[in-house]
Amino acid sequence: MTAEKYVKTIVKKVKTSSKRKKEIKQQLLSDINSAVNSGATLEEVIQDLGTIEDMAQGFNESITDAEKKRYKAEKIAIILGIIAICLILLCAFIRWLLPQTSPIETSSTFDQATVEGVAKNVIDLMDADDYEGFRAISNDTMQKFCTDESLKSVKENINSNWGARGSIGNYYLAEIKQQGQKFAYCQVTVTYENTTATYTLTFDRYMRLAGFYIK
Amino acid sequence: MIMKKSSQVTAKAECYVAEKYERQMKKGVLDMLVLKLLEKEPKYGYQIIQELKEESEGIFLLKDGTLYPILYRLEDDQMVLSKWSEPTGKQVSRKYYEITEKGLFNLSEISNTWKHMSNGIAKIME
Repeated sequence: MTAEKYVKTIVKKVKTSSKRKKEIKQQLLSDINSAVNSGATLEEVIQDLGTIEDMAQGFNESITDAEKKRYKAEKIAIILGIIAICLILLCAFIRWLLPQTSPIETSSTFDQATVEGVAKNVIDLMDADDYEGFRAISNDTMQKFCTDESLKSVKENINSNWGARGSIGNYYLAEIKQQGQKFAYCQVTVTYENTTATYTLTFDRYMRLAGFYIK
Repeated sequence: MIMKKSSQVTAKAECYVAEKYERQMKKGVLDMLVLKLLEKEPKYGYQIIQELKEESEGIFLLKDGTLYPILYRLEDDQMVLSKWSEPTGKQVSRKYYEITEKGLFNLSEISNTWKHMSNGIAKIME
């Protein structure tokens, strides 16, 4: 066994503050060094000093109440520190999971005019029943699920005959950040001859349609 | 056979009792002895252990685990001061302990108490 390992194991078992442990370690290593320089072998010195348990017990038996209090306070501080770090990490993770909304004007990724333009394009495509064109401006997931049948049935659920388009209302836009990804959010109400439809659209950073909802 | 075993057990028990009292008696004087060794000049831990062993002719065989808590306590009570030396060649840094004025005063007081008690004990044990 090396002197370092011997001393390190002793110090680990001593119930005192880390400052005192460091001091004990330095002093024990210094004493072992002095003994070896005086001609003894390391094995003889370690045998003379005693077993690790006896050495640690010797120190533990003599620890003052003040030192015990410092050791306890240090342990509590370390535990509280670990708990605080875990809580911070948990909060950061939850924050990362939950969507955060901010005005589109402040977005560094999306441009208001571009989002409005693409949103109008989606409305035009739905009005023209151009589902192929609709899928062409959608992301992979949307392309998979927005079949002709599903898009037709979405319109028919609102009204079987929408009639001619009247007017497009104001565009309500925002940027949404969730799980490290950014999306442009758009909500707009369009009036038709026989019904009104509110479109809720989501676009990814490449301005592909990533979410579509009509009511 | 049983008698032999019984006498062995008795001898062991007596030895244990004697060791226990020896430990307790030694414990009571260690602070005084450490201060006495530091009276003339500053010393480091291993040096104190060696001198205690040599000057007591082997009666006081102190271990580091016993000595250092004594030194820490004496330092907390401001009876000694400590200072690390600079490493020289193969020799690593050593922590030297030096007696303070308060330590010298207390050593004198404790020595007088010891002499007083020794006289009283000697009279009883005659």
